[in-house]
Amino acid sequence: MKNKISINSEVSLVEIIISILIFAIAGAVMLNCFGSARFAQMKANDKVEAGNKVQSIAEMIRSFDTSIEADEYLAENFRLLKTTENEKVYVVFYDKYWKLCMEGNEEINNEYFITVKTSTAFADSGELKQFVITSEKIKPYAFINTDKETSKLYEIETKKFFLSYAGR
Amino acid sequence: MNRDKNIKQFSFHAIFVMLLFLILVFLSAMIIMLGRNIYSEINSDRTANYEKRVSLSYVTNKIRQNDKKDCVKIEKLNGENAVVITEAYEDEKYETWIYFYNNAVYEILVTAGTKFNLDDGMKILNVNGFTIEFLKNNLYKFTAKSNTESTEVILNLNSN
Repeated sequence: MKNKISINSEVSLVEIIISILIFAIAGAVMLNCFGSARFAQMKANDKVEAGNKVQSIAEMIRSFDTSIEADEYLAENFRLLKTTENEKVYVVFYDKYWKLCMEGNEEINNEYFITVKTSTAFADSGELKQFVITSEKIKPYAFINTDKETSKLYEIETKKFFLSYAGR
Repeated sequence: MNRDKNIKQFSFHAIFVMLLFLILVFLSAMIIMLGRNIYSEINSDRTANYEKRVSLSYVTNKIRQNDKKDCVKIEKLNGENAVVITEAYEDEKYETWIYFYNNAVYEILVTAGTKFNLDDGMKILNVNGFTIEFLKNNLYKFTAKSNTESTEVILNLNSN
């Protein structure tokens, strides 16, 4: 009777420990799947929002008659990040709700940024300007894209020809 | 004495096993609850995302398809801005009205100038809000709202 009790307890203990080990492995895999699914959905939401923001900027640029107007719009609404002889890079930051970060507050609440790279491809009777508008997330998504420094969400490359006499 | 020792050993084993079993049950319940929460969050996000994305892309695609001179107008309907797309079929002019009514985006095709009731239209998609704003020459801002989130897109009409 004494031995029977002892054997049953030991077997139960071993069984439970093995069960917990199996559970721990399965739980880790499940948590990873849950995390990946959640962050994939967040990335999908961000892609929609980024797409709308980038397209809106492209449409704004498209609506201008002259390159000066386009430059003025970019200078007013973006921060000039880099300028070379033929190229200018503008940047704007957004918080986690995709609200524009106020000037001076960009380094604290920023989560996403949009860069607009402008360059002159051709200038004769007018100016052919190239715009590359890119939206990125500053920190990569957990569980997905962990190997990258930033996470690119959406990019548009477009050209617009501005006539010298400001026609459309 | 020996019997007492065995009873104590048995009690310790039983309690330890029960404790481990309880931990296992508790962690299983936690994982299930976590999975349920994540699934419901994903589902609600997906629905909101779908409503915002589809409503905006539907209207913008309709406008881009018909972006010809004097074909696209923004007019007031029931106090809200609505998109009016004019097309001609066999010398007859037809208007497609896209408007927000009763928490949904509606569309109706009528012969030009015909009066209609707002609920005569075909429901395209449920959204919590849909607004059309005029910004400046040919530039319009469309905003779709789902739950508490809203997203907007700016559209430039080439033709007008």
